[in-house]
Amino acid sequence: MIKELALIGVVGIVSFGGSKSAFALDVPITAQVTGSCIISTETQGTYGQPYAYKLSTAASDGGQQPVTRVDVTLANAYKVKFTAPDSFSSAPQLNDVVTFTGDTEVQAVSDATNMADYETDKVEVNDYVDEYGLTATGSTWFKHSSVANNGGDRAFPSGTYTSYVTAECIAL
Amino acid sequence: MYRFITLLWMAFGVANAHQMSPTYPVLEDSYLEGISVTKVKVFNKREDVKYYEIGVFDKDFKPIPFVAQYKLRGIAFNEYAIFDIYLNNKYSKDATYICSESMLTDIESTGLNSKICSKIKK
Amino acid sequence: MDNILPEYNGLAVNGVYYSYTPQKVKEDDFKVTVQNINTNGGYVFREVDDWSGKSGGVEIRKVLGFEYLPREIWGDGSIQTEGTGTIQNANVVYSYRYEDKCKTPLDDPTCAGYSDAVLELIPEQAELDIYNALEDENLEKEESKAEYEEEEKKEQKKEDKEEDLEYALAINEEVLEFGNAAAQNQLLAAMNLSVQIGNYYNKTIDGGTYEEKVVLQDSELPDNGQSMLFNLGSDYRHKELVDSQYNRGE
Repeated sequence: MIKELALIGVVGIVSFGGSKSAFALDVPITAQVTGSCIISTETQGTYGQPYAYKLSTAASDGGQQPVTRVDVTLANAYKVKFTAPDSFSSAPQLNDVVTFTGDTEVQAVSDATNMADYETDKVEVNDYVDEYGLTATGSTWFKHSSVANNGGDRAFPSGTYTSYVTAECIAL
Repeated sequence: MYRFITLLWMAFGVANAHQMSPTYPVLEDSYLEGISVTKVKVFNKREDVKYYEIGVFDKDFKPIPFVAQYKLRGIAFNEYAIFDIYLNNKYSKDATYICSESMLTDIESTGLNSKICSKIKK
Repeated sequence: MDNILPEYNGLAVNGVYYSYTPQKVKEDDFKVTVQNINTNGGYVFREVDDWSGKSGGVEIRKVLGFEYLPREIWGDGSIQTEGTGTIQNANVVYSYRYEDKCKTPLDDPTCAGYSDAVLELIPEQAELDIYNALEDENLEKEESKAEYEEEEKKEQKKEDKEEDLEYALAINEEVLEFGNAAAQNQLLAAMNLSVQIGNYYNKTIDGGTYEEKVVLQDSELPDNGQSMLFNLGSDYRHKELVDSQYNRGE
C-alpha cells in the first residue's frame, strides 16, 4: 500500500512538472584556439663583391638583402630569434680567417599600432643574434644583412659561397 | 679586378614557409603506464627542404629524451606530418619546448634554416 | 575610380592591398587613413593606421579582403594623413575579376547587344526569284485527253527511234571493237615478226676449248698391305651390325 502511494506520488510530480514549467538546458559551446607561427622566405639574398676580399649583401655593394616573413596567429605567444651567418656553410678552401658581421631589422609590418615598435624593442643578444617579441597577430617582414671579409684583405678564391640565416620562432 | 667567376650566393627562396602547430601542445596520458603523449603538426611549404627534425628541450634548450616514430622525417612540399611524441613522466616536468627544425641537405637550398618551437602547456 | 578600375563587364573587386612608409618623429601624433567611398553612401572600407607615439621609417603592408563587390559601388579612393608626419612610397593595388565571356556581344547569346550584332553581320539580301506554281506557264496549258494520248505516241515513237539508233550504234561499236581487236592482233603479229628472236636461239659464245692442265701419268698404284687389316676390321664390324638386326632378341 505504501509502495503504491509512493508510486502515484512520483507520477503526479512528474506530470505537474511537465505541464507547468519550462526546462532550461545549458548547451556549452567550446573551442580550442591553437596558434601557429609560420616562417617564410620572401626574397632571395645574394652577396655582392665590392672588393676582392669582401662579400656583402648591401644593395650599394651589388648584393641583395634576404627578407624573411614571420606570421603569427596568436598575440603575445611567440618571440622570433634571428642568427646572422658567422661562417660559410660551404665555400672553397680558405686559407685565411673570414670575419663576419650581420644584422637583422624590421622591414615592414601589417599592423601600425601594435607592431611599429618591434625594431625599437628588439633585444640584441649578441653580435649575430637579434630577438623580437611578437606581441601582435599578423605578419612582420625582417631584412638581414651580412658582410664577410677575408683575412689580411686577401682576395676570396673563386668558387661557390653559401651561408645561412637561422630563424627561430619560440613559443612564450 | 673583381672575380665574378665566384658565384656569390646567400640564397633565399620566394614564399617558402615552414609552419608548426599548436603553440601550446598538451601532454596527455598514453595507453602505456608512466608515459605521456602529445601531437604536433608540421607543414612544409618549403620547396627546398625535404626533411625536418623534431626535438624536445628543457627551458634552457637542452635536449630531453623522448620517443617518436620518426625524429627525422621527410615531409614533401605542400604536405604536413603529425608527430606523436612520447615522454617518460620523469622527464615531462622538465620538458618545455617541442621544436621542429628544417634540415638543409642540398647545397643549392635557400639560405634560411628555420626552427619553430612550441611550448608544452603545464 | 573610372580611371583606376577598367571597364570590363561584370568587374568585381575582392581585395585591396596597400603599403606606405611613414616618416615621423616618435613623439609626434600621426594618423594615416586609407579609404574608398561607397557610391551608395559611406565607405567601402576605411583603414586607420595610428602611428602616434610610434617610430616612423617602417613600412606597413596590409591586405583587405572583400566578397566580390561590383565595380559600380567603388567610388574614389584616398590616403589622408592627420598630424605631424609624411608618407612615402604609397602603393594601393586592387584585386578584381571580370566576366570575359562577353568581351564582344557576339561571344554569347546572353550578352547584351547580341541580336543587334548578329543583324549587322547579315549582308543585304539579294532579290530572290520566288517560284509560284500558279504562274507556271507550263501549267497554264490545258490539254485534252486525246491530245495527251497523241502526244504520248509521238514521244513513244521518238523513243523507239532513239533505241534503234542506239542499237545500231552499239553493233557498230562492237564491230569496231572487233575490227579493232583484229587489227590489234595483226599489229602484234607484225611486231613479233619484227623482233629478231632467232638471235637468242642461235647465239654462239666464243669460248674455245679448255684443255686439261693436269694430266696424271699412268702408273701403278700399289695396294696398301696395312690397310687390309683395317678393311677386314671394318668389314667384320659391318657384318656384325647387319647380323645384329636379325639376331635381335636372341
